[in-house]
This record gives sequence, C-alpha cells and structure tokens, in this order.
Amino acid sequence: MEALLSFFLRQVGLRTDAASATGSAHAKLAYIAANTGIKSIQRGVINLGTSATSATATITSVNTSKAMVNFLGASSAGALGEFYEAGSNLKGLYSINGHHFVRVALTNATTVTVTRANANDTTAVVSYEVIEFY
Amino acid sequence: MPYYAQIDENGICFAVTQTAGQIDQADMIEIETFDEGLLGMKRVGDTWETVPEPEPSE
Repeated sequence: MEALLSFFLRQVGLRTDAASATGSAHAKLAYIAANTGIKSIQRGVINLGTSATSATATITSVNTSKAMVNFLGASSAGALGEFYEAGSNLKGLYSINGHHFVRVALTNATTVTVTRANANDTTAVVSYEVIEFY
Repeated sequence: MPYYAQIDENGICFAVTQTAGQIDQADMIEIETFDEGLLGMKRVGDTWETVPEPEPSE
C-alpha cells in the first residue's frame, strides 16, 4: 500500500511542485501553463520618406521560427501626376499609385522591414506588430 | 514595456516602437509614450524639433 501511494505521489505530485517538463503531472501542467501562448508583443510605426522605398525598425530579439509579423495598415496622402500637351499646356491630372502599397517582413530576429515599389514623392506611415510565441 | 523613437543619420525620427524590453542602441531614443507625432521630427540635444516639409519635386 505504501509503495502504491509513493508511486502516485511521484506520478501526480503536489500542487506546489515546480514547473518541469519531466516531473510529476502537477509539474508538467505548471510547465505547460508557463510556456504556452504569447511570449511578447511589439508594435510600431515606420515612416517611409518621400523618396524611400524601404525602411527598417529595430525591435528586441525574437525567435523568428516562433514569431509572426502582422501588417496593421498604412496611411499615405494621394499623389497626382500632370499630363501636358506638346508644349506646356496642362491637359489633365491623373492619380499616381504604388506608394500606398507596402509589405512588412520580419527580416531577422531584431529587424522589421517595410518596402514599397514606388515612392512618388509621398510619405507613408506603416503600422505593424510582432507577436512571439513560446 | 518601453517605447522608442528611432532616428536616422540626420537625427530624423522614422520609427516609433513599443518593444518587449530595453534596447541599448545609439539611434534608439527612449520616450514616455507611443507618440507617432514624433515621426519626421528632428532630435536636437534632448528635444524634438519640427522639420519643414520639403517642396514637392516637379
């Protein structure tokens, strides 16, 4: 009987057991609770200047195999191009695109990079978050 | 969690970040809040100055 109780004590353990991946059931539960889910969230905005097609921001180090970056949106003013006749008469205006459309990447453990195809003399502010999991 | 304004070689703020921990880096200026209004401003000494917008190119 004593041997049986000792066996259960080793297997189930006590509520006060320290977290351990190899200990009792209580210890393993504590380990899972402490090492599951979100480890950190970092958020930021990056400004792409009027002539910039890429920019990087520094974050605290994350494990890239356990982290993801979310694009939270971008804001930018419109841009207009001018269409002239042969000569110098302004014939019309047209909308310039490309500077709105940005990509966000977790380049390495400490760097977030935003890129776009065209700058079009227009700034853009890009918002992102990096979520790291255990 | 700390907040930082990141500046380029001219002292212009191009990024504001809420990080998971402290970063000790010359181009990362610790700030009190997540202040997006610092984007485009210039760090002069311990203060931020507004930089005039450049004229759009033709």
